[in-house]
Amino acid sequence: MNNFSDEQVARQVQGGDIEAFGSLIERFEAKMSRYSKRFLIGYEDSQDLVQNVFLKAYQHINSFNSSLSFNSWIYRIAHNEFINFIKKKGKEPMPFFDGDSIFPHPISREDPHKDLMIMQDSRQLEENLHKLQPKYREVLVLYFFEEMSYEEISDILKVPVSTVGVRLSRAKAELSKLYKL
Amino acid sequence: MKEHLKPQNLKSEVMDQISSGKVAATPKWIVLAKIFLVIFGFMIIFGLAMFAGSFLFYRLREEASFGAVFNLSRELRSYISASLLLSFLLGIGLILLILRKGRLGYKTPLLWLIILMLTVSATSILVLDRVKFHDAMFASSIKSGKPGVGAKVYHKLSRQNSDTRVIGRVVKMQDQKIYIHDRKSWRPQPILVEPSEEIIFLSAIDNISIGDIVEALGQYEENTFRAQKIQKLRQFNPNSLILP
Repeated sequence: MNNFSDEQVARQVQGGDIEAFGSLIERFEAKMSRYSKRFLIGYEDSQDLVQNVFLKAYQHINSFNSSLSFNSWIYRIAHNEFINFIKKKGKEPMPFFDGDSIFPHPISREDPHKDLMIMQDSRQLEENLHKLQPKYREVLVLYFFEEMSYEEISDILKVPVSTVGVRLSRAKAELSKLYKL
Repeated sequence: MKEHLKPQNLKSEVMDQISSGKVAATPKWIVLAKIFLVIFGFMIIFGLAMFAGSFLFYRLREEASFGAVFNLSRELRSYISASLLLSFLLGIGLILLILRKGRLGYKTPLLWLIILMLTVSATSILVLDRVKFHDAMFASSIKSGKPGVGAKVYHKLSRQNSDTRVIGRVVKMQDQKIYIHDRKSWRPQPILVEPSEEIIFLSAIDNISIGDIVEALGQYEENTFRAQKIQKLRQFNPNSLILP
């Protein structure tokens, strides 16, 4: 089973092999737990949500197109689950309109020094993460901790690649302000 | 320690729920049926939008006040109506685009609610206009000689026009008398139209034959419409999107 790709294992699950789904859980449980802990920082019961993510993934396994990335697909499910959870809790503002998408700005030039500073001090980053808006926190988590590309993040969040760039740029600017405080 | 134990619990708990049958995968045929329904629904909405668009275009071209106020030709009315309709559709498209792009990347029922509202509104307008304000009005007017219940509001709005204007299909001709089936009038059908003494023939009455669409301007004298002006109109198709 270890030699198979995620998509091949998913195809086996679609064919009725329930045990193969156990293999997918093993592959993604650490990633999902990490994603939930950092995105849902300051919330309890994040582990229960990860369980829901896997249950929903199994329920909807037949809607997964195995020619696409399983990784992006399961992250998309997790994203929806976590966002709904945040909305339900009502602790953080979740505006319907997103200015970053409606009025896109040119992506600022990447600053490797700033990135390095953020990545090196990951402990302080985690401390500051919960002070950010969810939409900025999420792109940071996916980019720095899950090491995803702009395209993958765009695929998960269902926003244009340019919007991912704008959010990331603004998230870094917000973080820089927090570091200076 | 607790953190290390969690992932193992997670896998067993998920697999327990799956093997006990509490959680089941949605069958493939349901997934396919949903896709089919989405495509089918889109086709219906598209067809409905086309129909509503062509109907609105026809109504604007034939009845909008800008045509009469500026005394525009039929061609100009067509272009202005098409431009107005296009602007309206672009406006709706822009709103939907903003809503679509404005989402934070998660599902929202609002977009679907708006689409549903638009569809229901368009359907209601069409159904009311086609059934209540025309057929019901026609049926009840034959019985009572008064406007039908469903047509009262519509009749009130168009009363000024309907008392001085008859427009419809010629169903019978006898000497200089023409019987016109005016779908908008609440009077018993067909309406007897007789030329008045001040008649101005814009198109010779000899050219008018049964089945033609004509417009007569004048006044009622009891149940006879005394026309001062009669003209033959071009045949129209309300559902046609083709400009004249």
